[in-house]
Amino acid sequence: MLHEEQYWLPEHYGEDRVTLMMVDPENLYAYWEMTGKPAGTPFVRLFEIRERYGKEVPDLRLQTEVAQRGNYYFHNISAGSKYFAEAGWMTDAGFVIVARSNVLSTPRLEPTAAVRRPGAVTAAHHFPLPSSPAEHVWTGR
Amino acid sequence: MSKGYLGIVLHAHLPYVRHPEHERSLEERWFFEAMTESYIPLINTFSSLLADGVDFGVTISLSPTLLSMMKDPFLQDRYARHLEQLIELAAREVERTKGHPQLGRLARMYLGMFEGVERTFAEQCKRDVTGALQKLFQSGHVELATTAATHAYLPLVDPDGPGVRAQVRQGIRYFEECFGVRPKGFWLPECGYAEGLERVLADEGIKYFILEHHGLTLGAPYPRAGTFNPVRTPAGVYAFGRDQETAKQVWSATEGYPGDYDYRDFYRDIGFDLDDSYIRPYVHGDLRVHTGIKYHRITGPHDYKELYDPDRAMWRAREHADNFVFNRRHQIRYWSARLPNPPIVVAPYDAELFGHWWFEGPWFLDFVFRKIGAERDTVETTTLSRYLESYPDCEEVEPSGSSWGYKGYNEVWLNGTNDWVYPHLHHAARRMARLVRSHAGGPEHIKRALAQAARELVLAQASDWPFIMHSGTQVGYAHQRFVKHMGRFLRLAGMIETGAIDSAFVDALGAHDNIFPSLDVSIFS
Repeated sequence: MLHEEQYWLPEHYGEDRVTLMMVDPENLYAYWEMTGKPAGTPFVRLFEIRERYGKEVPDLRLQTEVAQRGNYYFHNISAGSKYFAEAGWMTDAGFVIVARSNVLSTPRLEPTAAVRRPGAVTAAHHFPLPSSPAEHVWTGR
Repeated sequence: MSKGYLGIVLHAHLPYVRHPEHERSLEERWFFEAMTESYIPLINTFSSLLADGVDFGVTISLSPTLLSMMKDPFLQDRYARHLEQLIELAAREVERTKGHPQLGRLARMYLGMFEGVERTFAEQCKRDVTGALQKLFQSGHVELATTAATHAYLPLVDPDGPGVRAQVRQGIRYFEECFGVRPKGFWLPECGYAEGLERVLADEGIKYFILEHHGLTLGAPYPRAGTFNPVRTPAGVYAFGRDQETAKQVWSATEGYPGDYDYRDFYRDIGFDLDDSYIRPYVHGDLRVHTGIKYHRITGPHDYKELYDPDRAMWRAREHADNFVFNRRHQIRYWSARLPNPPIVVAPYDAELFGHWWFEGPWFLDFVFRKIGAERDTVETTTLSRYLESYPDCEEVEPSGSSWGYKGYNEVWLNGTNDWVYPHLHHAARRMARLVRSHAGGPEHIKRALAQAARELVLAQASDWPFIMHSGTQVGYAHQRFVKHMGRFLRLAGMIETGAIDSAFVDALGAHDNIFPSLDVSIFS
């Protein structure tokens, strides 16, 4: 017979880390943890990776003051792009990075012009964006 | 001569709901109801098509959690008891309604139906329905496919970590354990696709998966055939796209077939309608629940319900099947003149829709397959791998992130109600991979703890918990299940790291959460 106490999950794991996740192509979610004593004001920054002159260059899209551990939803970002986040301390001397996230690619919202080829079955003609089972009553899950 | 194909895909999944700690479990009823109303009726439908020599093809993906429950002797015993009770209730209903011709007929229908289910379960399948699925699989008319081990929502379960690969590997391995062959198809839970998943599937030898419609049509380059031909991804694995028209005809709450007023009403059940003293032994203690005996038809968009007429409903199911086939014929005739390969309409549905939610669903499928099998003039039904064997030359397309959830992406599984689970899941997957690297070669008691830690982690990764937290019903159960599995994982991880293994705890947990008895922790390496 299994005897066990009630479990309480830790609020943090003692790791310097920031993780970026996609809600949908225009909304992202990040959670982070910075360990150690505060070395400034905690900030999270979101970068979009753009291509310039054949090179990938990070553009700072948004930065916000946050808690040392927490989460944040980034709204109204551009679809069809690449992003990463940084968590760190804002000091008088500038931003000190504590952790950098995974790189996340967001999907396009439209078929790109370059791929509209003659003879292709186009979305505009035949495929309005989908309704999904989750909004209907027939699914049990 | 047919001009194209219809590829119906039924995806069967339930979360792992096994509760030996309770005399009776509300959640185990999910499994029992789906067995009685969907899985066994569908097995019977396909078996009768085979017996009658109907030429048909259908693909069924089975989640490893569901297969585990189907094969579990403890749940088989409980299900046998559940069926006995159900038959007893139906027999009492026959007695109670004998003065009422219409109700009496319905009560006799349910009694006959439950007795038929019991015959299939106990006599034909000897309690293990996976044997019947295996027979269907061997016929070549039914293709079985797998999915993620515990139906983890792969785009979120572990970005860039070992958790995704572990879910895929265990899904494939457990399928092999059950059916003796590697699956060709892999159902992405909730059709959830994120960039890079196709490489994991290709590495593990999977031939194809299915994308939500816009996962294909927003791919690059734009697929010439829309969703009517599969594509080959750069990793070499094929992707089929979900057809929107067939989705709408069945799923839509307003226009879909299952909402027809002649069909049986799901919500009006004697579990809620009859006197407490009469119904109490057949519900869940003080809690009123569905018994599966329902005497009314949908009737209209109001609370007034008329009695159900099975003949009228069956006639309606036949009409809907005719309409469904008529529309496929038109779709295929139109596209066959315009595409490089013959068109295939891929129509995936939750298996539990048929029978459980849509009572007449198995009749509908039976009519569709028989009609197409008899006519074979424009459309043939096929399994997805049979189509690929005939038409392997496909356009190369990189799919786009997508799911079949609300709004088409990840919001259902990542929002303010459930985002708190992900830091725990991601930490645990990284920690599990570290534990495997450092302790997989350890003594037996460490290995047992390691395997149990892996079981707890994959159980915590199920897509069902964040989904239920979001849906707002049974939230407490999902919350409790997640915290328990994660808590057990963390406790086991701590034991393994310190070497202080509590073997009694590990053994008790192994008997309790006994999914995947032969799980190999190298899935996390």
